Amino acid sequence: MTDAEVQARRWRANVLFVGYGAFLLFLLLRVGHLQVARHDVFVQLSDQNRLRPVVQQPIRGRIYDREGRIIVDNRLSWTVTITPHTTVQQDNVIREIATILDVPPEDIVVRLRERKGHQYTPVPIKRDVSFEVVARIRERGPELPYVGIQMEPRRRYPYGVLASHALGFLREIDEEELSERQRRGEDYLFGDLVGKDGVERAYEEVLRGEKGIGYVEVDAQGRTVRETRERGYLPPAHGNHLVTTLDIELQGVAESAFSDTARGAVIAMDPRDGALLVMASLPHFDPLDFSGVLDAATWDSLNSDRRKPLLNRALAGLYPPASTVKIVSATAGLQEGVINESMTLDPCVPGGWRLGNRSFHCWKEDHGELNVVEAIEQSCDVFFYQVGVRLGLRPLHRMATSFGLGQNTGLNLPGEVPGIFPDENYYDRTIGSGEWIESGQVINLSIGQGEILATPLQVAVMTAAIANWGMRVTPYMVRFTVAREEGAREPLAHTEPVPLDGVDPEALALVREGMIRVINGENGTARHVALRVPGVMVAGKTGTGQNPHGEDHAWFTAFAPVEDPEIVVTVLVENGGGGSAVAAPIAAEVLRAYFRDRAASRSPAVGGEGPPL
Amino acid sequence: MTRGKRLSRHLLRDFDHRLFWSAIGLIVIGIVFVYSATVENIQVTAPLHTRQALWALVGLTAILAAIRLPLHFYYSTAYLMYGIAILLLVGVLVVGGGGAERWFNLAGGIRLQPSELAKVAMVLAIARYLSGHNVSFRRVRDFLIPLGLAGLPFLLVARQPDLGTSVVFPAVLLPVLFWRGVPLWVIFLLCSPLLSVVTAFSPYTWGPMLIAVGVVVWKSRLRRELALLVVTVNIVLGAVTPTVWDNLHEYQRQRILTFVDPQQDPLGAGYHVIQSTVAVGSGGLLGKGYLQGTQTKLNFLPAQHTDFMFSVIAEETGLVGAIVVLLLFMGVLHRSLRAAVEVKNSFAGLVIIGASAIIFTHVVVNIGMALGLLPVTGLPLPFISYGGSHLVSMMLLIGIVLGLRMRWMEY
Repeated sequence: MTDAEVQARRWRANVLFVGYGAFLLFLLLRVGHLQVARHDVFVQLSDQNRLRPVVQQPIRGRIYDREGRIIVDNRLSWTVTITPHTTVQQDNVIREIATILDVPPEDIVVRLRERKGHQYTPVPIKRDVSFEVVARIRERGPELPYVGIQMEPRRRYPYGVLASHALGFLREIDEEELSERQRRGEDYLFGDLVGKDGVERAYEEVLRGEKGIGYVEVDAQGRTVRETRERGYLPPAHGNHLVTTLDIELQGVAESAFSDTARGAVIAMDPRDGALLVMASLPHFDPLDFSGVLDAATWDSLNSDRRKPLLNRALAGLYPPASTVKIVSATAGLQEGVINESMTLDPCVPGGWRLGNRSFHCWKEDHGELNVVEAIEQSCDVFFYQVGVRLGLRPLHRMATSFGLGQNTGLNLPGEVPGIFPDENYYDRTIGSGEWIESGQVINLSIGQGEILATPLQVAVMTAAIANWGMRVTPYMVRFTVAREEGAREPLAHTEPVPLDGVDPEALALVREGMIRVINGENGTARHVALRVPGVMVAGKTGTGQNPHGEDHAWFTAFAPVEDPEIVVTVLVENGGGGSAVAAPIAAEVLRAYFRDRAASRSPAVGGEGPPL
Repeated sequence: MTRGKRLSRHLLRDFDHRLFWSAIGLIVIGIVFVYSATVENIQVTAPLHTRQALWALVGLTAILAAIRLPLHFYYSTAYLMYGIAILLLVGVLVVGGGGAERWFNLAGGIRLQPSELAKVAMVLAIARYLSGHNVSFRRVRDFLIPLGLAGLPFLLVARQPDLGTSVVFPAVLLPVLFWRGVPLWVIFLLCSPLLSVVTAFSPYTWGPMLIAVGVVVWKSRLRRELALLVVTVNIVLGAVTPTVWDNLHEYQRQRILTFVDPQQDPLGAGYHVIQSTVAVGSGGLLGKGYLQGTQTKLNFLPAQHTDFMFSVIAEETGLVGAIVVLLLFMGVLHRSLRAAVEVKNSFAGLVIIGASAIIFTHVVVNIGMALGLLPVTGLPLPFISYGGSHLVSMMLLIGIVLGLRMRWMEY
């Protein structure tokens, strides 16, 4: 080999060395660029890959009754979830999980499609699955990526369906409410349970608490590898408890006093401050029916049920209040001076009472000549026709409004309706200006018929105003919130009773006397009913609401003890028939249970110290 | 020539320790990180690191055998080996039939990948042809025969289809031809048709390309008809390419685009590349620690123990580890080039350059892929990626280089 050749080879080796080196140097620069200059970005991407935020569900607050009995509680349940993941074909996974859960695969597909929110947020597929299902899924773990099992608190109702309307239920948040709450910046997500109806809804914010957040490390198949605190951990703030004014045992008495097929409502309320001891609406529904997922069928069947089990009749059922309203007519008549204690009006005779060329009949056509107390005792329609006509619409409407008819009572529960007590404008609007005769309408209104509709709750408030010597209460159902951690109670403000507008004790005394005689008088409409409570005098009023669509609605509203009333009980039985025959016995059972318990020494005073927690 | 069974002492004196230990270093790193990439991985059931270590032992015997064999052995058997390799490549196509056509399944679950053997055989064959005295590059034949020697295995492997592996064969040609004395401008002209296709999409790239070709042709005083041919080919290719492109079906274009730039399809073809760059980038300066790579451990990184070993190392050991790996490869290449300068036999020099070119091509294509610079081709990282056939053939190459270097004085 010549020197020139050697030189040439050296040169070529150098060129190749520089060439190889240049490529490798370029690769090294790229590595440096990725690992040093853009390190932060890639650390973030890498964490995004492996770290999944996991919502830490707060435990919903418990609901107690006034005696400290737990009426709504939580237990842990297993919820099966699927984490949507776009990179993987999920068809066979979905088919497999559908078989295990015994739900149609299409339902799961639809559910995954309607899910809103983060791509990696697990979507609940079935709630409260059995341990067997959990075991099967755990077993198949490696073949079922993206399928997870979450522990989730679930509502438990130690008293079953009791007070289901008042307490409400939990249901998966619907799209409308979800977007509304998210717009307000609340931390709700698709699939969350939210209070619907009743206390659960009205006190959603208190009961729910706040979600926390934690992180888990997942692998490429979305399986959780471990929990990690490296990104911090925010524990959930569990919901606070509520102490209600309900007496769940009394509630039970009220509800079981109804026959299985009966529909209606019962209110028991403290007339001194409006605390509700019982709010019953029948038929029941089971609050557990809603707290799963994929419950469209259940929902539809409850919604389309002709018996309307979801309707809370106590505050959203509208009925003609019938003769119960006579206590308002009497008060108005006495107050306006169109009648007085001793005054008797045209007698109740067969053939009825004639006004112009029409005659108006009483339900019992031989009451004869009565004063106001006797008229209440015997519920004489003819007497009150005359009171109405003498009063005129405006004073009657004013008094009815003062007693709370035709307006919401102010109870802090959703769904309450105001009912109707018509005034001139109402008739002008519905019948036509100048086309209605005042006396004709007033005759009906004064006995609670015609264009008048009220809820059982309104009738209870009305009764309480008589019992309470003219103080009108605003009903309430929740007394305290109890902070979960410290156990500190915080009383919830409720509206104080307000006096009725210009009603004198003298007038009320006469109405009360009439109501006492309804039960205790010789001719009282409810004298047959065994309403006698040992040592307690009860006052009340019956009502039989005429119903053009079927049987009459039966009313009975009462308070006791007469000397110092501490409970009002109002009963409505839909299409039940006569008030004294059907509704009064139910009220009697509630009252007896109440006073029996009190005699057996319940907590010293209603609304006292409250339950130990 | 030394024909004895035992290696004489004076030969061992010229054993290139640095080349040997650089390769061994890479192999050890490979076993260590194959372990990291596969331990506790539910998708991998066998202990692959021990298998890789066993393959490394097989490779060591291959090195020992290779350094015992005389120079003449390689020269005289070059074409024979090439012929055997081609037969095996044809055989794997025939036997494979439909699906996996890259391997022969041998007894005991061992799979032989003939394309790996073909790389070694092709280097020997091309080196033998180019070391002939009558090769002068004055005749077109002198280009066409090496081109054919590389082209045949290229086509057979591309048919498998293993496009990634097939690119190695033609890529080896350039350094070897250059070493044999082909001037750089000729090499440029040889590459020019490919460059024309790539640059044809914009006048701003194609214009300078054509000017460069023109200048080189004019300066080179090439024979007129040859000059005309080169210029015509370049113009025609450049002009036709955009038209062909426009007439492709959308899906064909898309397929080519995602091959060239996988990032366009982040959940499909691009997923691997993106996850690989994330693994590298999140490694940082010192890495996440051995066995601590989250991209690796949690399976975000696909084909961790084969194609994406560099990403595993870079994730767990950071820039420091990446530099060590690149320096070891640079060491292997540098020692090979030194050996090529020192050996007096021109066949030996060409074999060594060919070997270096094979290693270099693998390193650049594999790491370039791991860093998101090049398309995903599935070319392994020499000495490091899991795979027996590959490891043994790479070690065989090192053994041949070591053996030829020891016999540097032989003509």
